[in-house]
Amino acid sequence: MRIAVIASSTGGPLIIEEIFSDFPALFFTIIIIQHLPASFIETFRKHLSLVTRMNVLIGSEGHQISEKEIIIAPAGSHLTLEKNRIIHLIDGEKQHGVRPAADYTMVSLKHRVDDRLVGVVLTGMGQDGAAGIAHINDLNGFTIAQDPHTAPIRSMPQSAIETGKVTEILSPKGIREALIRFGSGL
Amino acid sequence: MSTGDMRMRVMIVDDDAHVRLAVKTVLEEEGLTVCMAESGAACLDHLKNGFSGLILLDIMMPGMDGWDTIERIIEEDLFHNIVITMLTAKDTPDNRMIGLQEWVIDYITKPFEPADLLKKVEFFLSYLHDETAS
Repeated sequence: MRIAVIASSTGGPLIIEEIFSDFPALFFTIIIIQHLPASFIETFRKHLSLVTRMNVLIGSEGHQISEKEIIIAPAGSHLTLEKNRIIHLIDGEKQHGVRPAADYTMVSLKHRVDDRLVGVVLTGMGQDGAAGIAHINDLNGFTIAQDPHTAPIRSMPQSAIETGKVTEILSPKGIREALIRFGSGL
Repeated sequence: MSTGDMRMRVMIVDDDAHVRLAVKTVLEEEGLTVCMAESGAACLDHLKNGFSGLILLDIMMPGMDGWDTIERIIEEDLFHNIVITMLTAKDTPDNRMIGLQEWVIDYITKPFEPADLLKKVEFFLSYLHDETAS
């Protein structure tokens, strides 16, 4: 199974909509950790569902992930994956000042011989996603940081880059193309 | 756009009158209803008086700065039917933003291109429409 996890914070909603505009339904699962107030999560889901052919849903406890799905982490809980397949929501302490934190999700990923993993860190303040990117890289996954020059706030992608474990530094357009290649099995 | 529509309102919070006027001019030319606040305290007053819409919030202001203002908005339970984006000359936010990230949908640096600002304002207001409708 192919699984991508995206870390995104301030400035992310518009960039994510650009990445997924006219995005085809592909045989992989994308999990988005977007730092947003609870009142905007459903709006974020609706916006994405209007621009992509993937199924867009908000993650729920016990959900078994499927291909052609974009799963958005709900506000207020960390989202982890059991055996890279089953979602669990955890009410732990905030990490990097946020809950959900992308690091929780990324670090919960495990090595499975039949899985291919991608981690992406987009715009935002702080270091969320950096530890997760390093973990995914250690699992032989593909890791991407948004080019800080294209990010409204450079801090998160810059922190990921500074781990030395980022495979590619890309613009939103480049990230879109990389995700389509990954989802197409190329 | 209906200029009387509360959901189309934008509040510019900036201690610099020239910035307030420049942003107001750009937005009003697109038919948006704009109100202005010269301080964080004035922003809170507008919210207590029922403002709903997009808040373009400066960071560096005397007294209550942009981060203080967001903290007060949260503490006083005033985050209803609003979207907050920073509009600031600081190209990189300081660490005081940690813990407030989720409340700030975007971060725009001055000087800005009017077309870029309008594109973002339209996008943020669409979030508000959806929230109001749902």
